[in-house]
Amino acid sequence: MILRIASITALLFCLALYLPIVSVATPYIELDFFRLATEIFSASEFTPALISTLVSTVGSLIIALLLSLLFMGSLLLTPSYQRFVRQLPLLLAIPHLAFAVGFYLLLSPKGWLERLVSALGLSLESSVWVQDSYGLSLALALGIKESWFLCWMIWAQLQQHGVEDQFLLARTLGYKRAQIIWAILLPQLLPRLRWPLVAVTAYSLSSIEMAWVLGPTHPPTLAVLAWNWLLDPAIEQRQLGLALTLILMLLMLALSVFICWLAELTKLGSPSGRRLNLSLGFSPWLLRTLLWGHLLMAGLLLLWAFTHSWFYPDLLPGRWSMRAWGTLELMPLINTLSLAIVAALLAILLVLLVLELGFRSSNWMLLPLLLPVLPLVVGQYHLTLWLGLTPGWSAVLIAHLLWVLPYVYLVLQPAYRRLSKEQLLTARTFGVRGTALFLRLKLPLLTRPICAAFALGFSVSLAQYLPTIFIGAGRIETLTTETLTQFAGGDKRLLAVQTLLLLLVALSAYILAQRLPQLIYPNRKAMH
Amino acid sequence: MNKTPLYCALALTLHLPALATTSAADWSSIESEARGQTVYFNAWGGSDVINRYIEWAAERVEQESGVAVELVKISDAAAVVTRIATEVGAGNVDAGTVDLIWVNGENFKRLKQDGLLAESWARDLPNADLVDYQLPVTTDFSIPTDGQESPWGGAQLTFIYHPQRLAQTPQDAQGFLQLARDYPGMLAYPRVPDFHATSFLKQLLIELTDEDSALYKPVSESNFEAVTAPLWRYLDQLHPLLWREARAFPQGIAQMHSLFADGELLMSLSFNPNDAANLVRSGTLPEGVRSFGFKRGMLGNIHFVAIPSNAPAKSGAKVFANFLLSPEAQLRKADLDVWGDPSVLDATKLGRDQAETLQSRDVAALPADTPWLAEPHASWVEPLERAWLERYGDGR
Amino acid sequence: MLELQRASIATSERKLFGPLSFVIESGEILGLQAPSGSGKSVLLRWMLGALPDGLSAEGELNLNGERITQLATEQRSIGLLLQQATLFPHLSVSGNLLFAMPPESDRSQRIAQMLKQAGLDGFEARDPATLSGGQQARVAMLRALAAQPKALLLDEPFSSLDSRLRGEFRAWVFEQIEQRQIPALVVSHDIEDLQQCSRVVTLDGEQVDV
Repeated sequence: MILRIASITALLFCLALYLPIVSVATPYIELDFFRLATEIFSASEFTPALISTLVSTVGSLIIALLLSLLFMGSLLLTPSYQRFVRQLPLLLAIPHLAFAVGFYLLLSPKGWLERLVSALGLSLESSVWVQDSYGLSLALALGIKESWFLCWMIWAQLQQHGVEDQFLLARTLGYKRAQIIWAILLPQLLPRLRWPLVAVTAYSLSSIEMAWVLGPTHPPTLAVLAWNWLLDPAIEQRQLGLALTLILMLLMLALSVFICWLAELTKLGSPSGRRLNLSLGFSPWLLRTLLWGHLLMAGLLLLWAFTHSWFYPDLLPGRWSMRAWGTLELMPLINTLSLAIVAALLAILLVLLVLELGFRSSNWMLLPLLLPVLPLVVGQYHLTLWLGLTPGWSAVLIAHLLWVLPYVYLVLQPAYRRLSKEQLLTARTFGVRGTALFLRLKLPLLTRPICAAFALGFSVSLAQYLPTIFIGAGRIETLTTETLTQFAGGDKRLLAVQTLLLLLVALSAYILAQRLPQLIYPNRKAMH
Repeated sequence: MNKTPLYCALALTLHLPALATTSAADWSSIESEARGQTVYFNAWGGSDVINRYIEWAAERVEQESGVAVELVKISDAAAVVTRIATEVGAGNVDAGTVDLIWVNGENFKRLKQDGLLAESWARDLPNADLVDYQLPVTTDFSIPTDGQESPWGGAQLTFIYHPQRLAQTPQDAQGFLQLARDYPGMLAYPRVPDFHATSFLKQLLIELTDEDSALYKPVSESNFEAVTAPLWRYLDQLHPLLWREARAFPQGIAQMHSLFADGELLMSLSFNPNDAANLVRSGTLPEGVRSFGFKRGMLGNIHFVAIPSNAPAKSGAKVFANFLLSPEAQLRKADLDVWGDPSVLDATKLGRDQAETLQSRDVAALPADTPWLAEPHASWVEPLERAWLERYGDGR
Repeated sequence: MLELQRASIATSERKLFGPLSFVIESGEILGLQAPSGSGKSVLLRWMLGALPDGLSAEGELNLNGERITQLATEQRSIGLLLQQATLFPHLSVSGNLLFAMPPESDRSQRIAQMLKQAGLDGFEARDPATLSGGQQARVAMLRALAAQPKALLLDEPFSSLDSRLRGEFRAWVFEQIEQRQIPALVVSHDIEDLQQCSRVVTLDGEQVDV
């Protein structure tokens, strides 16, 4: 009984939380959309911004898809496969922003890579390796970061559908890996990867943080442009910003349709039977380079964090200092941890309660993943204004929940479904029902997924920028907002220190979540 | 050398006479009202040095007057102006989110025009008597302040360079252009609407235009096209010679410093004439850098703090603003080891030691005899930025 | 002729089996009797060049006189038939067969013939998921043969079929192998399967009578 009430309350709360998806339309109702749209299209910044946006969004999608197919396809059925898959959660735990900053430190003008090259006696035209006007560096960084996510999704699919056997059979039929990936793997995976691909596109399209660090500045991508206009003092510009946000939504819709169409395109013509001699030998090298690149970027962060002065062309800092560490403040850390922990726990509770209601599908909870961030945040902002909520910690928490909930749902829903019906039935025969069943059997059985959901929810809250800034009126500082402030501030030492802290917190949460089941149930191997 | 005892001594000795010149009753009622209030001070957070100074000031004010000051770091004052406007527009008249804002120029103009500022208060501060009224502290970009903002510090546009990489510094705009021809791709200025960029544009405009006087009247009273035409002709020639052929601009002054330090650029910019020395001390720039200005002079202005009309902690804000004007605070602010921001105080109104400290200049700083060019009327800023964005905003 | 010389496979902890040696002549079907978990599937995978992770192997494999122990899977020309038909679900029946056949002219005719002979007349455009277990198994066999392999390995290929179909299918499969005169290895624990083989050995290399 208690459980029922709690569940229904949870459902209502979630529905209220998701209102911005619907209310996202209200600020636009008052707009004279066509007039504003015409003005936007004729603005001189629009076309270059559109180009860089499309290049970075579609480009990152293609890169991510190619890389993930390449890596998974070339490692399948080899000893390295399991090792790689085990490293994936770690790669996923790295915050996007930390990756972008590392990328920047490596490839910016007179950055470390250029210094290395000049130390080897060569020269490099490097000023176009980051923040280039077509958004290529942004596409590359996004593509690499998202490829791990797609690898993870592919791995999940491969587990379920016996594709490994098909792979082996195709090889016995005389085909090499490259062709098998194209002819066998891709046609089966692509339709099932539709929604992950849409989620990746939604993120790339609306990412402000990555675009600030690596994207073009002049003019910036459409998302950053919309953001700038929304904050402009002049009300006409703000209206343009709203209209542009709506255009972004429409663009997202168009891209989603494109992706779904692309997924169906894999009904290829009849196989020709030709065995092509394409080699994927470069693939392990590429993977190794990327992984070592991650380590290199982490190393650069460490070096910059202890730098007093470090100028080109030195490969190591000229003078060392701990001064940058003294600038760290406690408040952002406290805010970040409190928001992330509470948001993750709350989301887990809400999702489990809603799952208890037993609906066949609550997949509407995944909606925020498929929509660009900016319109949702605008919707949330107008909602908070309308409700008269004061900007502060609680408002930001609720704002974060809109993105934490879907990811937690993503992890918990399949785990909940897979709960052994036999075990539950057996418990019922002992007279254990309802709330007691939930607390004493279901929760413990779900320990591992709950820990994984916690890690994921934590990292999602950690990474939030727009909701924190918009809804929090700049009063709530988190590690992410501080990192971006430091990036704008341009002092690489302070930037490195903030980024390192961000990275450390993210990785600690991940490691803790990994170990937690073992800590809670030290003597129960099946629970680990 | 630990200067804290010196500052404390100064604070004690100078505080007493200051009190005597203001109506003690008014000010002490403001002070007692302020006790226990929390002041949200919105200030540009892009410099760690400045942030630490503000935090020091906040601590001192808490000690002295029981006012808690919260620094809200912002990257763009215009956004905060928008927020204040939205709040007041929505009927929020005494529970705003901003109590004190670091502001000047066109942002001040917007706040004043739209009636978003508290009534005249700056002249009533006890320490207002110490201010040097020879400096442009009563008009802000040619707009009268009417006591609605209190001066805080001075600024002058400064070029920073390294004598080993650049032997001859340009003396004027044409010299700058010639330098760009001699060293293509090695010069830059930040992206508009960064205030350094806008100031650089104003600096050029003052020199290049034939109608100087028009710049000190509202823009609506002149032919914008005619006045600014020489500037756009100049930039059309300059841009292809700049860093990355002006298809990208450094995002802010900090990035410019970084590019300059690594040798990607020949010069950097600053609004603080003492910055070069400061930046070397903090390891941001290599040793040996120097500052210079054009012969005719460099753009200069005063920056202020203002109180929005809907600030809930007005008394606390006034007490803090008063502290910021105190010799203790101003001297520490001018200290190169701390911030190096020029003071607004009149050296003749202080003791001899303090006057010397206030007027000393580091060898790397902008020469003290660089003439001071006044800021054009605030109404010119937005049209300038818009025109620039229209012409060059898409990276062409 | 398929020849295995002193093959042994071990995990990091213990040896699974070996050394095992045998020779299979062309058209001969060798049965390998082994219970589950003994490493029989692992042996087949090693013979295909796809040894699973964590295992080590020794020994040599020769096909028609050539040493192929180090050759990549796709170059060995050894066909595989698994317990589950594992047809490619995104291709039709003829797509599956076309995939296996080398590029030649008049392939569609050949496919039509193959299907007819297997009792699957007109099944070209069918979706593999709509076929019965027995039909899928037959297509899987046709597919393996379409690639014109030089040898064939069968891993419990009949055990997922019900007993009625089993005998029929098995007879047909063995017939195809004998027709093409290629060596084949059938791994099974079913007595009837093994009885149809020319010879039967165990993982210890001993010949048994069934």
